[in-house]
Order: sequence, then structure tokens, then C-alpha cells
Amino acid sequence: MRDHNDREIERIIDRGFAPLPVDDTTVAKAIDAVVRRGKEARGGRNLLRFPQINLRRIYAIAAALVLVAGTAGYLALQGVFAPPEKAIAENDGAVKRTQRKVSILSIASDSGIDSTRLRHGDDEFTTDGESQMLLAVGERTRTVLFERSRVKVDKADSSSTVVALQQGAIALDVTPGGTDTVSVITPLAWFTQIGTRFSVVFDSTEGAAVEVYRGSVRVRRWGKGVEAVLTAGQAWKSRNGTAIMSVRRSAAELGELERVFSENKLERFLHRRADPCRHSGAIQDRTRAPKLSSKRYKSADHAIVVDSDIVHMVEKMAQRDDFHSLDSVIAHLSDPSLADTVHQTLLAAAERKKEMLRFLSAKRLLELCANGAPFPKRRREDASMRLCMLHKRHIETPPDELLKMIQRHRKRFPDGIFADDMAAEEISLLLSTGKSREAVAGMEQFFKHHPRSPHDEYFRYVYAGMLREDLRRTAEVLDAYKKYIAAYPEGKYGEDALYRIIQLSRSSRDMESAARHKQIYLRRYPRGRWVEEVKLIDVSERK
Amino acid sequence: MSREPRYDNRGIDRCAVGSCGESGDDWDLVLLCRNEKDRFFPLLMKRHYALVVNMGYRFFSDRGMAEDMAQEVFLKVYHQLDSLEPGRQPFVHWLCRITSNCCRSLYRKRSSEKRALEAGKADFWYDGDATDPADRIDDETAASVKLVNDTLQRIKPDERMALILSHISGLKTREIAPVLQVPEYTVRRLLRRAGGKLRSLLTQQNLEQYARS
Repeated sequence: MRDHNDREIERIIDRGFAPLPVDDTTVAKAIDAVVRRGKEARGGRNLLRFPQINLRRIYAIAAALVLVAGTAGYLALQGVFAPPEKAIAENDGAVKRTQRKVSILSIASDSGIDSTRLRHGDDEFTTDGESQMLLAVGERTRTVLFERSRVKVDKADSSSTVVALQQGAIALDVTPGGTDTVSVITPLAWFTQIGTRFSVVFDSTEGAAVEVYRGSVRVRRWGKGVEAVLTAGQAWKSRNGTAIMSVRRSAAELGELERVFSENKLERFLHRRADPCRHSGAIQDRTRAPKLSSKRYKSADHAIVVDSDIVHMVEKMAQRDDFHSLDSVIAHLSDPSLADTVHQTLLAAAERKKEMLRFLSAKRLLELCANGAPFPKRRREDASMRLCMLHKRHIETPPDELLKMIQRHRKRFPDGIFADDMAAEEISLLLSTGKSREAVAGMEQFFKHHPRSPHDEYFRYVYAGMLREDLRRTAEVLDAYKKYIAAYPEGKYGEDALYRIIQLSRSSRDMESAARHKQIYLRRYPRGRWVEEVKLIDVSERK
Repeated sequence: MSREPRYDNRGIDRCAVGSCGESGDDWDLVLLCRNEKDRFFPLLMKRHYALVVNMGYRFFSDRGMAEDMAQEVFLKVYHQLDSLEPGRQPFVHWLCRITSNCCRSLYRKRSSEKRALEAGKADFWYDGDATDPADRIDDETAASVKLVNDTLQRIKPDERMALILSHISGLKTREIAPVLQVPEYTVRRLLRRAGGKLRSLLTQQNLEQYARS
């Protein structure tokens, strides 16, 4: 008796602590309420709070202000606020009070470096070989600091901004319309913008150089006055004296920089374009594809070395987001096995980017893999499929665009390995966007072309349901359910399908079929969800 | 060539959040929330809402209070997401700790008079029949839930919370200790006492029912 009682108690406790389900509506309402309250609370914290009026408090604040003002005045008289000697004033050379207003907007780095390691003090910034940085300097200047570069912001206030480039390269974007001046100084020359976007390079062996993308820049050498005034599409090198070079840049190259400055985000490495210091005359693109001549890697002695060199190089390019170079390398591949290896390397790099949540970089790599002509067709199909899934799951591509992407993939690879999967994706997308007729037409095509697909069972069941509910093609519904049962007698949705067949047969007065399927249902699903209802269904012939 | 379908029975890939999916790490979702809170916080909340509400329902025996408490818990999660250190402990443990603290503070706010009035009167989960068949629970389970809830209200709050953490959240003794912020031996003592009281009260009620019948 006691044991029975204990067992009963344990059973009650087990059932009593069973998790109770929560319906989706309640959850959705709760989520909306929390998100709304969270946003309201965040906005409220930004509002000023006025303290209560209290005379004692006012007197205390006034006394504190007088004390601070007096101390500041005394210290100013003592010269504590005198600016450092190195600060340069643009207009009259007088030393002015400096304010430091520099912040790091974004860092692109594959080594996971954090901002504290790149910042030295308030106004000095350095990047190593694997990082680039986007800074906001002063009131209207953004600066990209390329790899292996060092800058010091000498001044950043409402009258002028002065950036000292000590090593490497920077690109600046200055929002037009302000009254302050923005200058970049190097040991050899200094450059003053006149509402523009430009880049400056300094190298201790090659000298200083500047290239202008937009607006104008005045160039001065130390102790020599104005050397040149450059406009968009022009460059100047310290080695060439007053000579000005013209530069041609493609829209894509300029677009990359435009994107960084308009979004204030440096998500991936900016490709460091042709360095004006290293060229003369017309600027050529610095990135040259490696010489993948057939002679070189057909050589039996060096084949393995060359292959691994190329694969290693591709891996490094993918790591640094050097898509332009990758494009050139891929275009020159001619060995099929090497192309296969490069493809797999790029796919692995794309997966790593995805894990690091760098979805746009992963997308670019997958695009290269999907569109590269030297790659085998099945590899391109694989990459194209992964690209579609990336758009679907990570990048918020609108459903219509995603649908077009999948349809383009299906057109390119109609008989591919993943043809049924992508057809299923298209149908799912049509279902989720409410395009019932197109979805049903897609399913009919699916049954014809992919009868052995693992998705066939599910779509047959959904097809019958859609005919019944969405399209009112009642005459075909019974047939559809019967075909499902015939194809998948032990299928996942068999119970539901049998139940529907019984109901539909009864309503169409086919009592023989109803009775037969009733027997099948009761035999197969003796404890089914609708067993009580099915038992009560009258399937006798009526006269 | 036969292959396992990559889709669930709704034909839609269940992995809605990249590598997280429904079996992925909660901390991945927290990291995603930091960048796009509006997009990923609802997913995080959806994943754990039922657990928090169940804990609250067992604690207060009142579904309305449990849902209010769950809102407060997730509001705190919403504000504290950016300052969390992922990986120090499982996310669920941290969530249980917030839930436990919330339950206790709400319990203290309720007046003792009100508590006396509500003692022993469990508010059942559903007011009427659940609309979705999947949400229905059988009568036997419903009766057991009501009985256990009634009995839990007669147990001290600390002991009650320890029982709830053990049965609902499935935490072990050493995991409950940091959640309740007490040493492990204290947790063992709480569980032993609470379990003993629960069994003796249920046995007493069972015997009374048996005598009446």
C-alpha cells in the first residue's frame, strides 16, 4: 500500500511539473510588448532630467562654478593651456588652443585586434599589416587608415583640422560646406583640401604623394609656397616637382570608398589602390595577376610547388578581402584540378567569413565561385546554391529578389545535383509569399521532374491541401489524396490524408470508398487523433 | 539517390538563424542581438519564453502574474544584452537567475494579506479549452498540475524556487547554486526539505481523498 502510494505520488509530481505549452499568439504579444518597452526605456534615458528646484542646490552649483572659473583663469594666466609647439595653424601661424575630437568608427581586421591596441594616447593611431581603420576627425572629416600606417591628429576643432601622416597611406573624405580648413601634413609637403575626397601617401624612401577623387586640393612644399592645385582625377608626387599626373579610376573602385564614407563603416578591407608614389605617367592598377602561364605549372618538377603557392596566395587574398585580385587569378586558371582546389579553398574561406558574421564578404567570395568560368559546372552549382541560402538566411534579401535569384539558378543548372532542392526552395518561397497558383503549378512540375525526391511526399500532401483550401478544385482533391496514400502508404501525413479521403468520399456519395478507407484508418491508426470521429462516421449506403 | 530532406514538415528550412538554428548556441544569438537587436531578440525570446513563464506559473500559481514576470525578465535581458560576457556560463543559467530574482522581488512586493488570501488557490493554465489541439493537455495531467501547484504554495519561497529550478529548468544541484547565489550544500538542503514537504503534503491530500471516497 505504501509502495503504491509512493509510486502514485511520484507520478503526480512528474505530471505536475510537466512543461505547459504556450501558444504562439501569447508569445508574439509578449515579444511586441518587451521590444516596445525596451525601445521606450532606451529613448527615455537620453532625455534630460531636470532636477527639482532647490535653492540650496542652486547656491552650491553657483559656488562650484565660481571656484572652477577662478581656478581655470589662474591656470590660464600661468600658461597651462598653452598648445604644444608642434600644432600648426593654417591661417596666421599663431599657436591656437587645440581640442582633440577623434573617434574610431570602425576597424576591419582578420586578426581580431581591438581598438585599444591601435590607439596610442588621445590622438595617435597605428595600424599593423592586417588591419585598417575608419576614423572620424573633427567636425566633418572621415579618414581611412590603411594597413601599416601611422597618423597623429595634431588639431581637430571648429577652426581647422590637421592630420599628420607619419607613415603609410590614408584616404580622407571632407564633407563640403564648412568654414574650417582640413590639412594633411607629411615631412615633405602638406595638402589642404577645398571641400573634397583625396588620399595621401608617404613613404620615407619614395616620398609623399596625393591623389584627388573629388573637389580640389592645394599642395605646398615646406618653405616653398603653393606647388600645385589638383582637381578630381589628378595626382602629384614629391619626386616629380610641380608635374601633375592624370589618373583614371573605374566606378567600382571609387564606389568602394564612397560606400565606406557614406555608411561610416569599414566592414572589410579596402583594396589599397595604385600608389602614386610608385608610378610615373598614367597610373596603372597596382594589382597584377600572378603569371599563371601554362608553361610554369605544367612543369612536372615544380607543379606541386606552384599549385600550393597559388592556393596559398588565393587563401591570403580571400582572408584580406582582395576580391579584385581573386577575380584576376580565377580568370587566368587553366588547369582543371587546380581550379577545383582553388574553388574548394574559396568555399572554405566563405564558410569562415560566415562564421565570423562577415556575410557580405562571404557573399562576394561565393559570387566569385559561382561565376568563375574555369570552375567545373557542379562546383559552380554548389556555390550558387550556397549563395542563395546565404541571401535567404543571413542577408535580408526581399522575397521577390530571392525568388528571382533562385529562378536564375534553376535556369543555369536545370539538371544539377541540387535541382530538386532548389525547386523545393522556390515552391516554399511561393507558398510563404502567398502565390498559391504559382506554387501549385510549381508542385505539378516538381512531381513530373523529381518523382524520387525526398521532398515529394511533403509536396504531395501540401498540394492536396492547397487544392482543397486555396483553389477550391474539389474534384481533384480526392484524387490527390488518394495518390498520396498510394505513393506513401506509411507516410508521415497518412493519417490526415486517410481522414480527408473518408470525409470527401462521403460528401461525394462514394460510400464504398469511404467504408474501405475507414477500415484502413481504423486498422492502421487504432489510437489516432480522429479515431473516435471516424468510428462514428456513417458510411452505410443510403437508399 | 536517396537523401535526407533538408526541410522540416513545413518545407521551410528550420535553420532560420545561420549557424545558430534551433539547436545552436544561445550565445551566438546574443552576439547577433548586439548588432541587430530588433531582428534577433524576438528569436531569443521565443526560444526561452515558455521556460520563464512555466517557472513563474509554478512559483505564483497565477498565469497572469507569470506572464507579467516573464515580460520583466525579458526586459532586463533586453537591456543587459550588450554588457553580457558570452561563454562564462550557459545562457539558460543566467536567464534562470534573472527569473529567480524577479520572482522573489515580485513575491516580496505582494502584501502578506493578499498572499494569505491566495494561498492554496491555484489559477489554472487555461481559462477554457485551448484552441490548438497541440496545446491541449489531458485531464490527468491537468489535475496533477493543479494539485502540485496548490501544494507548492504551501512551501517556503526559497525551497519552492529550488524545486522549480530542479524540475522545470532541469538544472543540477551544482548549477542551481550560482543561480540562487547560495552554496551547493544549501541547495541540497533546500531540495531535500522542499521535496519532503511536497511529498508529505501530497500524501496527506491523497489519503484524505481516499478516505472521502
